[in-house]
Amino acid sequence: MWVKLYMMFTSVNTFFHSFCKGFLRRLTNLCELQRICYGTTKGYERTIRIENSLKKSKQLARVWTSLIRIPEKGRYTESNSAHTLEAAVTGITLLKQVKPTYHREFVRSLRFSLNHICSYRQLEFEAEHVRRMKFDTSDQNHVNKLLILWESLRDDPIEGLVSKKWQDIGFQGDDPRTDFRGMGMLGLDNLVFFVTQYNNLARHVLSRSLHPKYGYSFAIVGINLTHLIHNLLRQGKLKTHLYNAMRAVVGIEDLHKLYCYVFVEFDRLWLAEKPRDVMEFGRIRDKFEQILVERLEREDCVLSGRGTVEEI
Amino acid sequence: MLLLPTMLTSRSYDSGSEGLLALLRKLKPSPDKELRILLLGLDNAGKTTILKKIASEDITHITPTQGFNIKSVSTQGFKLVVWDIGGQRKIRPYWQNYFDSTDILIYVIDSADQKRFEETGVELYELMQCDKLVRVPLLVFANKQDLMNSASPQDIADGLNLNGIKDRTWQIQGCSALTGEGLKDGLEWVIKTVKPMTKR
Repeated sequence: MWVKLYMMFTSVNTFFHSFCKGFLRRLTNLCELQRICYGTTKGYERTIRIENSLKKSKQLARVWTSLIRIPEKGRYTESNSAHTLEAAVTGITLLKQVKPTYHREFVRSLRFSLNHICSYRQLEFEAEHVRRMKFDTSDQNHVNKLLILWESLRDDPIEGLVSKKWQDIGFQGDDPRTDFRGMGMLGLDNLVFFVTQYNNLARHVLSRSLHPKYGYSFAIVGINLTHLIHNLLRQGKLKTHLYNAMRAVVGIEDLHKLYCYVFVEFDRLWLAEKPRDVMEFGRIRDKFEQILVERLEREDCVLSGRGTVEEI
Repeated sequence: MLLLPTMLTSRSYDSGSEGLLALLRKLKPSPDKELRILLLGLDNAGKTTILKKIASEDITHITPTQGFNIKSVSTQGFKLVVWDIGGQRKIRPYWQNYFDSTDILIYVIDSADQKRFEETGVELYELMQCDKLVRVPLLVFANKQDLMNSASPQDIADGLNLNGIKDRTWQIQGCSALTGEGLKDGLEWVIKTVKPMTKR
């Protein structure tokens, strides 16, 4: 019975929605997408409404599916993004009978939002691709990344890929390669970005993680934080932040930057909680996720990192 | 044990309200008997993967366990509450905080990591000496049997001298947390072992 009721409700709802759309279209002489572009502020608020409107539209269903197929297959690259957007914008303006020369502002806003919609999906694809990549000892590139991680955090040399010293930067045992697990190279790439781009900050966080009473394992906590943000990305929860960041290009670097922010914020919460011992990790991790999600659920969310040691 | 008194009283429901109460009690499903299972082993042995596989969860996004994970699974009238504690050397000293009222100890070994057999043997030996775990039945999962270079459960049992364990029931079970093979057999042994204990 509930299923039937729900179906009835949704069909009434869809009917009502299209009725309103038609009514407003006649009244304002603007299509829904135009009303969104002219009536909302740039960023998440506008882009998510465009996304939802396109998802629902029967008339634009083909334009929508052929547009998002590109990033979902990982083909929304620098070389063909302009072409992809142009095709979609042309399709939409033709079907909606909007004169692009007259509604220049609309076309510009639409293109900007469509770019973010595609970039987010492309980012999901790329992150998943790197996550599935396992650490490969025969790949010099992988080995180098691991060595860079060491060298950026420590001044003493490391003897090799298997050494007790890896525990000094928070790996579990002698062989760091076994710690990446389900996060694959995404876990390592995140860490390497943090320690190279924000070196002072990363060293500071590492030293805090070595606190005799409130310490934790830097590297494996980092890998757990990769898991956290990768999950949020897949759930679409990073859209507020990334759509609001207003950057022309959204890419894997934005995910790495977010990771640095998350690491620093986690470290701050960890110490503030004064955990009895490291066994409290699960509880504090869950609490941290809840706080982060609450921030991300605000329409105007922009997570901005503290770039220097002094600020933390 | 829990069902027995209810069944007895329900037969004598000729005595008015008492009988009705018994009947109601009979209708109410009997709660699962809770079993506390401790999952230990070195880091990278596969404890979390086993835990997630048992709970029928996705195992492709596993991360190293900082701290511990808990999950409960209901099977054959038992509610298994499984505690998966991180295996990193640094946190092994905390293992003992979780020993109290353990019904079953499951010790997980990476059968393909021959270099660490000695280390895992030492840890297991130390667990066997703990007062709080005395007489707690032991199931050893010889995990990663799907890997080419894995040692057989028999070889591991010999190498770790499991036959020397005389103060408790124990069992070694080859398994692959990845494919799920052997896990069911291991859990069946767990249930078979604790059933007589719960009736006592």
